[in-house]
Amino acid sequence: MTLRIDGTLRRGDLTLELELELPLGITAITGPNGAGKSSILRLVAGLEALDEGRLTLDDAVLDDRAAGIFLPAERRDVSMTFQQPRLFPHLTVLQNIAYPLRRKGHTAAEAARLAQPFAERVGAGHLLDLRPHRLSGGQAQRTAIAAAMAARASTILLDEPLGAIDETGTTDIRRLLLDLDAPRVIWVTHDPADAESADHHITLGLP
Amino acid sequence: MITPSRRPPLAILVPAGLGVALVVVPIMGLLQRAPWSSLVERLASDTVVEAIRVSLVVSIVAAVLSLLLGLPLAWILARHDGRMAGIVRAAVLVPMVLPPVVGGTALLFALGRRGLIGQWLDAWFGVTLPFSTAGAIVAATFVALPFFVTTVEAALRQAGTELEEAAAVAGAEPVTRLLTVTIPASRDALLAGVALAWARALGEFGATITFAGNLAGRTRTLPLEIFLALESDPASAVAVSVLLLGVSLAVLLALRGRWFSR
Amino acid sequence: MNRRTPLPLVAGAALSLVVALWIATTTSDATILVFAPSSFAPVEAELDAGLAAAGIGPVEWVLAGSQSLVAQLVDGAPADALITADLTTFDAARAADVTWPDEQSIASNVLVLAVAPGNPGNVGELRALEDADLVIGSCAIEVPCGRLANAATTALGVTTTPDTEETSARALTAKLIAGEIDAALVYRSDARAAGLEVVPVDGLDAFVNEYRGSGNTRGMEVLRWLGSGAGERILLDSGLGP
Repeated sequence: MTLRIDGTLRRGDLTLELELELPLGITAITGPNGAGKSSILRLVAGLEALDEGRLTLDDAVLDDRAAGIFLPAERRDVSMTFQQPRLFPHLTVLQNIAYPLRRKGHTAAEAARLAQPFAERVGAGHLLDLRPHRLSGGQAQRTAIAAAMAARASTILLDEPLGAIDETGTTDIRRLLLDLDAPRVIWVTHDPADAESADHHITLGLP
Repeated sequence: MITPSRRPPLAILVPAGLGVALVVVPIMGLLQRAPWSSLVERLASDTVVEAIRVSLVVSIVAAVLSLLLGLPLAWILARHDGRMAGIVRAAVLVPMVLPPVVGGTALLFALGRRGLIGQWLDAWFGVTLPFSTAGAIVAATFVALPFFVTTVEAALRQAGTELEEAAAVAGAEPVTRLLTVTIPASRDALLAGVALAWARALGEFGATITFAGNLAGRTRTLPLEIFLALESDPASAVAVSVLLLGVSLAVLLALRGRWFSR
Repeated sequence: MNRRTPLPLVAGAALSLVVALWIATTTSDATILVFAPSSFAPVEAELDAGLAAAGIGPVEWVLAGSQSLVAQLVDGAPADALITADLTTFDAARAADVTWPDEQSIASNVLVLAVAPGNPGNVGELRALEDADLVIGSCAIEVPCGRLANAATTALGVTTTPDTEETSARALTAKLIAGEIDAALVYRSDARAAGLEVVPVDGLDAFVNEYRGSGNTRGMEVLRWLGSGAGERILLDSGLGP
């Protein structure tokens, strides 16, 4: 169950030469701004394609331009949170968390029932019927994390999940993130303490 | 230190005021000429009621068509920036700057009985669009579509990509993303686009009279009724104009509350 | 000095405005402004040449549907002469006090049964206007050509149910040329200018719209020239009647 990226990504004048393995467990990625931390998550998620080289999961090739292979995001077994939480403005907190379950074929009622425990785990149990525009930054990110958990993907990608949370009480969320029940977690962070708590640690330098 | 002054400088105030006057004075002129005492009975006359019926059918169907054709189009334009997208965008916007009479003539040469496509429509299906309500709807949609597309494209461009990425990672296929995220999340812009397209279709004159002709109960919409009444019964023409003015203002006020005031 | 100021822009805009106004208002005082029916359009250049040869003018034509001409005058448009395509409209102009004391009968126009190029509807007689399978056009009853057509068909015992009621004689002719209409009663002058095929109908030329004009001293010079000699010949060649 090893995820390998071995290739090149070009975005404007930034060229990212990547050769890394993302094993099971929690991998923290740190590095200065512009080093391409988010790009790695986007490559794994399928929101970005390598210009050269390939991305593989064990024997399966997920992305290889030369071979004409690209598995789009919706077919990959991943879920993701973004630096600025991306909640659907027309859905309530509970419906946002239930969204990936709906896409798996659950009915609205089922999905809501399955989603509710995740809302409670992130401490959003009292916000279920609110729309995103009524949430604080921290509440929104908690909701996004719950949605990422609800998808039950084998890889969870976290792009600076605590960055948008300006409240002081982030301890519970941090503990939650270190205890996600996904086989693989890739966690982009600025905080050296987070990196120390992770199983693996990758530091990117400026290219 | 510069203290912000509440009153704009005169060099700005004067042309701005003239601009407002250019729009407001003609409206006042219309209202001042309106036959207020007989307004209701003039609007209730058979010919006007018939024109209202045709106008409602034509403008509502044109607005719905603008939505059905314009939404996929706006979505493609919002997600693509290539040269093709630029050409398509320019082509779709042409009716906005084209004199409607030219549009009507173009429609005639394309969809008329002897037109590029119209001759086949006639030969194969026996469909002739000119002089039919369907023709009036085509003319109205032709001029209304760009209003919908520009409004909605801007909104989809602004709101869409990030949310669609989130939906994709959550397992939503492209069409599902569009239906469950993009469209509902830009509902306000869609409503605004439909309202603008409807208002434009309701006011359409030049393309309609050129392409669809003028027949009571079939293609004679309110603007055509006004044009004709100007020849015989100017007071009724003003009465119908006041009606259309009222509808336009209502649309704008509704849009302001829902959309512009954000 | 790399700060951009809007001064060149403002100056340029102001300059073009001045130039535009200057061009717009440059009609010399000698110009005679004649408001005339659209049916004069095909022979406008010939009329100009003839008038110049007769030492009248220069003449500036404002060509439009008669009613819209009258409406423009009522709204204060400047003119030296007005010609309408029927007496009803002329009477309306006189009642609205936009005519002058001197009047002159200029010409007349009659209707013809014109058909689309190639006569796809196989039209051979006036009664074809009753055929529901054909696409029939007509002028709206509110405009002169519509009034004349209505009088003619009523008297000749034909009941038409048109597919479109066009708001001007020329709009009707244009749809015939485009082949969208199979048959319609249009002015002989319009049909001739467009080179349309015409089906002869007995008795149709009994229905005549008189072109009547009125003008101030300088306008009447033009109207008298139109009503006699060289001017009349040009109008007759265009399909108008005496």
